[in-house]
Amino acid sequence: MEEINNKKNSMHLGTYFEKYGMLLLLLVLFVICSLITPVFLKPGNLLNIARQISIIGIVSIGMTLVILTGGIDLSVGPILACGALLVAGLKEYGIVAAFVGPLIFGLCAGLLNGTVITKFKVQPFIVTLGAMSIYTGLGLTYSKGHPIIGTPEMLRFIGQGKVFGVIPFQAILFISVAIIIAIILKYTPFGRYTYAIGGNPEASKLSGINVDRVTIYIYGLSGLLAGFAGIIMATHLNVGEARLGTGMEMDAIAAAVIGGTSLKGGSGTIFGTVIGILVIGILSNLLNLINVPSYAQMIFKGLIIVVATVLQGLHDKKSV
Amino acid sequence: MKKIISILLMCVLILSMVGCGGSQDSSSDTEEEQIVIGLSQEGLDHPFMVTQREQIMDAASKYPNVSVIATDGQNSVVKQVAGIEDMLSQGIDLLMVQASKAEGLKQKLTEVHEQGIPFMFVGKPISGTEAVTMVSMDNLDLGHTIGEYIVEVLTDRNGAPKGNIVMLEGIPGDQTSEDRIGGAKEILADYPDIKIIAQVAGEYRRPEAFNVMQDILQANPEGTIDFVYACNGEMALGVIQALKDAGRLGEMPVVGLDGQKEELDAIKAGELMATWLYKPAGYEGFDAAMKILNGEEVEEFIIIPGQRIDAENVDVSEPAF
Repeated sequence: MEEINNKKNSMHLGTYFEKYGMLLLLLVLFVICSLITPVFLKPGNLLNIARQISIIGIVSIGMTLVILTGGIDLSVGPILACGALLVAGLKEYGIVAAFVGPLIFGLCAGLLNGTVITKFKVQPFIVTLGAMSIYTGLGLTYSKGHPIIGTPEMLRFIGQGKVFGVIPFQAILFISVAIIIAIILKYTPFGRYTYAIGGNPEASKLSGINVDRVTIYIYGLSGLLAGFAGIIMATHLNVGEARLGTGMEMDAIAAAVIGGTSLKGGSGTIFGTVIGILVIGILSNLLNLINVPSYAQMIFKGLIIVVATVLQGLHDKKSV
Repeated sequence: MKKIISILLMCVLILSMVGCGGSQDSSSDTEEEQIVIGLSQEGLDHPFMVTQREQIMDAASKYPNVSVIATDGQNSVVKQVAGIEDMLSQGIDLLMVQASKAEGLKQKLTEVHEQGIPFMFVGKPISGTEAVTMVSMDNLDLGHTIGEYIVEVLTDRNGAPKGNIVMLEGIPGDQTSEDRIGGAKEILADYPDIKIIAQVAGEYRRPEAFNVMQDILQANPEGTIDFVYACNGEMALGVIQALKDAGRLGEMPVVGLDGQKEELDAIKAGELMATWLYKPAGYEGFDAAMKILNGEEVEEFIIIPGQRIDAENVDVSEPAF
């Protein structure tokens, strides 16, 4: 009896840490940054950070969903790049095509990933690794390796717009996506199934959850969000390029993990991922502001990821 | 308790790392009339880019009132844009940009221009922007030169301008590669008996070039290749490695372009026929930047001339990087 109580207690502490430990880290980081360089707290700089994290933030939210089910999606970068190419490539067919095209592509690509993973029982890592190469190749073929220049005038507000003349519209999109997905996760059966699948797929199946279908939808959602991020990217840079998303999957995974999402699946929150992406974004910004050489930056960022995972491991051990 | 300790440890780690970084910066804001130049490079994983950065830093160190802050895009447009934004936050007087493709950067560069901060390209020229100047070698011109050299060598070898050649391009779509390869092809187009039997991407890197050359050697038996042109030095070295591996070194002439130290060594060893110096434009670029900051006129395109290195002059030549 006492044991059970202990477990409950440490679980409670664990969740507490998961939620607020990272928030604490973020606050500490924030204070350190403002002490080190006065430039950091300038509104212009903070708004820059908000914009810099928005695109990768949206991708990270999709990634978090996938990781919650115990999977991984390595193909988000190329899906994003294809989305960006489509925005630029479909502009002659009108703004609806240029906007909907990338979303449909992202959704289909994601659904396809999910279908292969569930129906043929292949490791998500392998399927999406293959998909990563396929979509990069598709993008290069579609664009013949050249950038496609120019996006529809009317869509450019998505990537370049500023609300009240200052707040990047991208940031508002990011926050909206985060809130919507967080609500879905918390208050809908779909959300509960997502956690259940990651926690224990067998039990979920036995309790009547259509595990395959939920998993396919999750990958679809991840692809859809990557496609959406591609629209923002293309309209921001006013160009589509096949290699725009290079390395993005790693940043997205890092954001989720720093934010406390367990790679084993079943535990993690959107809130955590938002904190994770803020930590990464603020860190890069700071390292740039104080002129740290980029090689050292890479070491530093890697360390943060490892440390976050180690801390998470401590928590996992206690709660299991 | 453990958790609190671990959080504390993490804070200490961050503080110490940031402390290390911070100390590097201490020299920059001592003077009042400080000029700050921002340097944005697409990456720092190639000796060309590293040398260029070192040259600029070295040139700047001679001016006590000039400091250079630098970011590198780690080969991602997104990161390069973020780096430029971060430098703008700190306040820079001029921006030097090195990128092989500016399409993704154009939007940001236009903003930089609108904010009244002059920018220029260094090392690789990119047209169609508001750049004050571009300080670089001219790749298209080099391509032409190499095309003419190929014709010359094949004529010597086969008695007439004919033969089968292999070309290794860099990253498909990259302007540098397009110009270096395209320039040579423009010349070769006049010689119908010179056939390009393979044109493949070696991504500018040695391992990739090694792999594709291996495949090409498999597909083309001895005596069927008359010339190999790799459009940068790293790839030329990869090609030589593949030839050695297949025991076919010396069967065909190989030329590179860049003039890095190892290429010169390969020329001395008789493995590489020739290379052209492609010099990083750090010193020249910095001079142009200072002129712009002093309000002097600079030309729209400052070309640094190329130079062929072969067995005859290799002993008296300095590598480009």
